[in-house]
Amino acid sequence: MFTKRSPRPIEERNYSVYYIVFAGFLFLGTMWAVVDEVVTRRPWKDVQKDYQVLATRKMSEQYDQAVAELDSSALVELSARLAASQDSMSSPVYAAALAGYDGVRESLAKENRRYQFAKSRGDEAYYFYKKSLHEGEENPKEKERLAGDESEMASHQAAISTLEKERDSLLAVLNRYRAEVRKNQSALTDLRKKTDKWDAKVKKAEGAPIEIKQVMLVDYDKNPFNDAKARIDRCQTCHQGWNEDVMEDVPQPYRRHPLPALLALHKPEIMGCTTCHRGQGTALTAATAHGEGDPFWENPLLKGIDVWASCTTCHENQSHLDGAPVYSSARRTIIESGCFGCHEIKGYTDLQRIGPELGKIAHKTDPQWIFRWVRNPKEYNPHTRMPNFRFSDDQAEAITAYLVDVSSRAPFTIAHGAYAGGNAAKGKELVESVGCLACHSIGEQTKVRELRGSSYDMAPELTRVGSKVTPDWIYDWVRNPRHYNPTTKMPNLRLTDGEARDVTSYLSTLKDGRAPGEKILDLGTAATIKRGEGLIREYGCSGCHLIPGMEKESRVSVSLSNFGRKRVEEMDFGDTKIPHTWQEWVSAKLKNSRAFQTDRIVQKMPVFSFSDDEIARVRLFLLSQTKDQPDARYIQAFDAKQQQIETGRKIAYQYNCQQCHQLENEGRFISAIIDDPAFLPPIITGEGKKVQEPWLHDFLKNPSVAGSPNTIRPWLKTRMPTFSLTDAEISALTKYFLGLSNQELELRDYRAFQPDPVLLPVGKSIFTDFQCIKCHPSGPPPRPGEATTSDLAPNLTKARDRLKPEWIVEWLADPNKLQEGTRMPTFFPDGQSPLPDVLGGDARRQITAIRDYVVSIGQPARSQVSTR
Amino acid sequence: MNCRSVAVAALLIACAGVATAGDVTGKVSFSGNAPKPARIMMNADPVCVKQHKTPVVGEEVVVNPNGTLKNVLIYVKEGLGSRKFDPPAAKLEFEQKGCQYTPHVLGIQVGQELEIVNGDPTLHNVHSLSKENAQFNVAQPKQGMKLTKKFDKPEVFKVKCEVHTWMSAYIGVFSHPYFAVTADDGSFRLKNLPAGDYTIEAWHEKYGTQTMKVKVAASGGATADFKYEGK
Repeated sequence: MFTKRSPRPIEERNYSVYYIVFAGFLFLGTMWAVVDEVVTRRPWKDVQKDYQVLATRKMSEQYDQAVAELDSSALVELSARLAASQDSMSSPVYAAALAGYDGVRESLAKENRRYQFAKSRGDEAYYFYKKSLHEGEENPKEKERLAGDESEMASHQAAISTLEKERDSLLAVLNRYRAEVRKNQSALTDLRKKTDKWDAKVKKAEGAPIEIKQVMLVDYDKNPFNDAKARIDRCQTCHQGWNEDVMEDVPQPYRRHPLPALLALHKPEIMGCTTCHRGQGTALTAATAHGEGDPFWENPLLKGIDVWASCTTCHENQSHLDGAPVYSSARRTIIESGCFGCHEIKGYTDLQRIGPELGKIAHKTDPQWIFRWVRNPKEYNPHTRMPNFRFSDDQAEAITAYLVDVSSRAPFTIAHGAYAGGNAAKGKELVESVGCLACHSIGEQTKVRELRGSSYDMAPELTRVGSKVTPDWIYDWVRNPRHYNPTTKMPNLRLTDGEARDVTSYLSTLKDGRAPGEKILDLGTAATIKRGEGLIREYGCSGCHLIPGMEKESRVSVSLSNFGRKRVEEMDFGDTKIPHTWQEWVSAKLKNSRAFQTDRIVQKMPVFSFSDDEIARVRLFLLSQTKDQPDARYIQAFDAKQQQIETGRKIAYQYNCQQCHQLENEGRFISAIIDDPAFLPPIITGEGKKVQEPWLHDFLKNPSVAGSPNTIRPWLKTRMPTFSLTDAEISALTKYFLGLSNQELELRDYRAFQPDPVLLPVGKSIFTDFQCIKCHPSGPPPRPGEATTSDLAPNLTKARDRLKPEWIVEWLADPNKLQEGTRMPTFFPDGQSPLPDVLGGDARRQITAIRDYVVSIGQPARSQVSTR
Repeated sequence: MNCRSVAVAALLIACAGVATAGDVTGKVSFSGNAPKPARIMMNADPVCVKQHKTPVVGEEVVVNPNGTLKNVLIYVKEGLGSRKFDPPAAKLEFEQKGCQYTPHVLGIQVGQELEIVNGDPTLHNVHSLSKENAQFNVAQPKQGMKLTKKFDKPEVFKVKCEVHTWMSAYIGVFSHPYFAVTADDGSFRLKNLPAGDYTIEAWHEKYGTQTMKVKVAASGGATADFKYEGK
């Protein structure tokens, strides 16, 4: 086993082969380390080199185009002119003027000096002369000396002013030459602005250093001890083109950011990228930076619409953000779906329950209907917002029993036979015109729902309403919805008795054609009622419905305040085989809230019917629910103004103003059934700067009735309903509108506005010239025989009490800017007046004159208020 | 060869290209029942009434005596590739006269100037309901007032007057000069199309669009006859 030892002594053996081989390994290892350090582990260098090539090419294209667009003849001409003007500076005239100018300046300096000396001597003589006077003996010698110095001063002064004149005239000559050069130079710079700009950009791109680009936010994050912790962000090392318009259509990572307007507000040079996109800021390879390469990094890049979840970090108190429509619509989905009924959600703990109160339900419909509805609401109305609790027959029966028991005891009566028949055809016409279809779908009339793009309706579909409620109930309801349900969102459309009967007649014809099997219900047993009560409490029905005896129930489910940070390890995936990620769990839960139920684990969350888009939005909202908060100075202050806006906004959402009106760039879904934009309810985002606050109060309290002399827009068939708002709600809405227009609520005596006596008659004459009266009935009523087009535009007699005077000016300047699609044309296209002879053609003054006249139209003979 | 001779050669080639062009001609015939032209009541504005001695009818569907359809916009929809066309220097006129628009249907090239004139002694406004181009809504309260407009993007859009609700017209904007509107004989001619395959589209405000493929040979033109049917 043991080989024989080599007979050669160790001192004589040669190890050089081993040495060389291992030295070779060491050398290779060192080389590898260097290569790895410099090349392999620096993929961003290649990215930057590629970017350089790409950016240089793209910018050179722009440069070439700018050169092609350059007016070459103008360039030649301007260059020649510049050269000529520069040449002329070496002409004898210029040279002579320059020499003369220098000479004169020298003489002037000398003369000034002489004057100063003479003045000093004079001062001395004056002192001694005065001294001699004080001493009581006039010194004639000093007097003479003083006179001599003064005359010398005068002669120098004269020389100075002559020289100054000479200097100025020579300078004028010089300046003429210099100005010509400057003028040509700047004209040339202007002409070459674009080419120079691109030239500079190309040079910059070509010579850009290969280096890590890093943004450091020293105080954005906090460590667990609440000390500032720096955040390092190196994303721009690879994403170099984020701010270059030319890089719009190139592949990532070179592409420009798709939302430059948003970046103007959140500067990546200061804020970095991870503040919105998350990811590992310090990483320098794509996989680790984005998160796929580092499974233990807790903030992987937010993909798709999930990035909008980040807005919440600094804007958590706002339900709407201009420029972030996905964020805003996610919030609306949460509000409209009533998630806050069962879950505590920050900012949404004070909203009204989204379902109707059930205290009188037995007076509305029959137990069979209630039972079927509780069993599966989607069976009667597939687009209801009420989710399906998948109750068994027995459970539904018990719940029905409790509801019927508690509500039949409520004091409520409808006069039977109140509905005395009506005209269904007329009723249909009314339903289709006054605005019912904005919120309610009927049969095939689902255009508004489609435009809205939501899987649910904001008000019950009426396709089968005739089988749910009696004509007497419908009549009572449409006459005054608050009679049956004092907290309903359904407004009063101010139908006359006749109209209400016609509408009732039509709605009663809408029957459920299907023949559901009737189940014999046992509703009277105390045990059943008791069981129903237990189920209602257990499943948290009172989160959405006001139910007698359960007004103070607390929320049945968990708070969502840190749900975005819930760990996968804390999530139960039941028997499902889906990948174990936060996103997959939430998506599956929202798709089918009972997905993770097993034979041991019961789940109570009802099943919603969200569309995939809605699931994505709700998911992004949930992702945003974290306790992560940056330093206070990064968070948008939720100050009094923002609070007022948010409070009013919630009321607007509650009454669903956006269904008909455009407000903060949202809504106006009624446009699905009204083709002509002129017949749409107005855009009200700018209402705060438009109307007078007292008018708004009166209007919201009691909107003008179509056909009455107070109607503002007589041409609209859709009616602004009466929402029976309280003064508190109106105040909140008013402050909301004012806040949106950056105005404060202030007391103003609008009636004290006095038209300018000079402008007033001019305004009247322009008003006549422009034939404003063609569309605006401006009372007094038309003369007999005078035809009018009076329903085209608002009656201007109301302007004085309705509109803010400064708004009228803004409106006249460009109506379409304030009310897109308005029929009101501009009389001052591009700010130019068509009347050059009036008020010197000054459009602004003319507009003010018209305004003053318009305000005076509604003015009664001076009242004591304004003459006081 | 110096630069100048290259340019001259290019010009010659371009001219040669035009030389091998042909016209697409055709007719838009109409069959079936046309709706009875609606009488326009201009009572709302006495100035309008005064200008007409005979009753005025709407121009939505105008069937010519020879059984053809008037006011159909015909244009090349596809086939010009990436060719670019400079707008002609000549202005087109669009007039409000007798409280009606003349012409009722108008084709114009991108970048070409359109002069909108008020020929009536009454207030008119021109409200474009364009989607691609910026909308405008300008009042012309005085007779003889003019407004010049240019359009950047191709589309067909409606123009209306808000004061006189019956007034409407359509403007088709094209990125090329190959378009025409049928007149009293229902025929049209798209002049000097370079040889090639084209999709020609006909557009009518009530009856919608129809397309047809034509081949313009190197010599000679092509025919494209459209047929519309009333319901």
